[in-house]
Amino acid sequence: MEVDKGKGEAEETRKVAEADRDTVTLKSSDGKLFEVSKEAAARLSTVLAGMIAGGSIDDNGTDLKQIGSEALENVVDYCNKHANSIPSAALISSSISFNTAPFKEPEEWERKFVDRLSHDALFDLVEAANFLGMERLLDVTCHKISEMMKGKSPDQIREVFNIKNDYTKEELEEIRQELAWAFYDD
Amino acid sequence: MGDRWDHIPADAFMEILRRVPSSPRRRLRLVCRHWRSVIDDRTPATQAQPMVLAFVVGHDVPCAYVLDDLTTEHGTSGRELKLPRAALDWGVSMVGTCNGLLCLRRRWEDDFIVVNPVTGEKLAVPPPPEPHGGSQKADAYGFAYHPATGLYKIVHVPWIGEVNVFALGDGAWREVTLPVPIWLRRVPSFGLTNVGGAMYWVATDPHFQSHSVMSLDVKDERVVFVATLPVRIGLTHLSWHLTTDLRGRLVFALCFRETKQGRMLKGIHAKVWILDDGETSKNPPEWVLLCTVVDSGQELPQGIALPHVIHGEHILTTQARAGYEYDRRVSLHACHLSEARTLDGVVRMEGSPSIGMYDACRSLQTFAYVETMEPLALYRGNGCGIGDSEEWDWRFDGGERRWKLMSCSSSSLL
Repeated sequence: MEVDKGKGEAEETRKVAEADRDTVTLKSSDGKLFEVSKEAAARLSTVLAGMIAGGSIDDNGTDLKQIGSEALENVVDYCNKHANSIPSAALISSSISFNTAPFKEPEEWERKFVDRLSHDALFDLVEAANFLGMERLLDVTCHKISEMMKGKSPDQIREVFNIKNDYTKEELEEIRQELAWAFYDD
Repeated sequence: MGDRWDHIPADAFMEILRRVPSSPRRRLRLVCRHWRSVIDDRTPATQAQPMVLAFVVGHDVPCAYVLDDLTTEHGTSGRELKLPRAALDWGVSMVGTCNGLLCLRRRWEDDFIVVNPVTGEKLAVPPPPEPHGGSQKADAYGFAYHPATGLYKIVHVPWIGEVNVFALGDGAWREVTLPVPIWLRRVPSFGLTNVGGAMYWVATDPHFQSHSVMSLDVKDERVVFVATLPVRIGLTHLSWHLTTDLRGRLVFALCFRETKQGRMLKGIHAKVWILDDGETSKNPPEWVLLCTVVDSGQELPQGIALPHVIHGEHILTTQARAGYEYDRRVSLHACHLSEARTLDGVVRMEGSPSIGMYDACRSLQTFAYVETMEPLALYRGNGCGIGDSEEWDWRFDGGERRWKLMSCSSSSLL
């Protein structure tokens, strides 16, 4: 990624360019540096927007100790792809409350973006998106995980996500009884 | 990776669960203790008391009314549900309800609209591959749900021939690949009924020797024989229906005129059976006569409400008050079974409170309804999303062999 944009300019413009740099540098937990468009970062991440506005962005790499390099690379990749995609109605965000907020359908490129991720990378990205306050990316990744559950039995879900069944046989039977029918009338 | 779920932020877990419809979400409680506690503590209760939905077709447009009080006399029609404008047409009929979703069929367009009246979300479902025009009767279709997987399907069982299904979220109708005995014909007017992850209908051999309940497993689409009807349908019978009660059992209702000493008595009687598959599934299921509903013949003509006749502890009946077809006033009644049923199983219709009253009623059908936040946006892909659009059209794509949604105004693909 191009890091040195704006450097090597004439001395008098340099200061202005520093303040007006159109990218920010992010540093992963393992010390790798990533460059991302300032505009996209501010638009897509409430946390980065707050840091940019508050001037707490470090030109030598803002430390994001909670995020590993693979996840951060995906975050940056997402921001850049997003900056290049045509914004659509699907991107209009709204406040989320359980069940009431409308679902924002992932766009084609977003689907492809998450489809290529391994399970681990996908979950890392959920955590990163949550940490950075990236609502849209959280939507896209959560959508993907919920799709992985679709049409699967509890057994299959445990298998897909490698979850240990910590119920006893009796407990499972009891919960199954509760679920026996779609409707209860008493 | 199991511990991934322990690290996943609570908000993100909510975001994931929020996208799973409420019934399959309840099943996720079976995965592990952690999931159960998150679902119980942080998602809304998903089971609601089912209500009665009256689907009334009057002079022109159909209306859907919700009746939640079955014990007191009402002179009103109940709370009207908002239906999309595209559904407000004379030729619209109700295919069925599942978990609070309504599936409506538009006769002239030959397509379907699935609506959640609570959220206002709607979905357009294309016509079956071979356009049937207005000739296919609405009773050839059913709306089914598979609780274990959360799949919704519209099922088409023609009177003879291949069974077709459309799974919400898919872009096209499919023929059921597993074989259906070709000599079996669906008996019309029975309709299709859905319960416990299967779709049921009644079929007969070409000589009308026997009537069999068949079922289609909504998930693996296997068609099997379930039971033979308790009686043979004959010429003295007026109508017959297959439906379900709220406990997930099959109900068979038969309407007939009682005769006594060769004389036809006034009034319509109905017998209602329930298919009892016993505590153990080893025994073959048995039809148990639930009640015989008797119209005294003294008053105005009365009959059982259909297709949803048994609503929990109540039996639903209708009474037509005056006139024919277009100026007819129909009232809906609910009769508490254990209070009204005599020892020999007879239920007299008169005297039960009127829970809904409808003027100019051409037809009245009853269904079970719950209020749900079940999202339809999940199934919007593959060209079924109509968003807020009130008008749309279909164009058949010969290459892909499926219908594609067009917006009417711009003639472009939605």
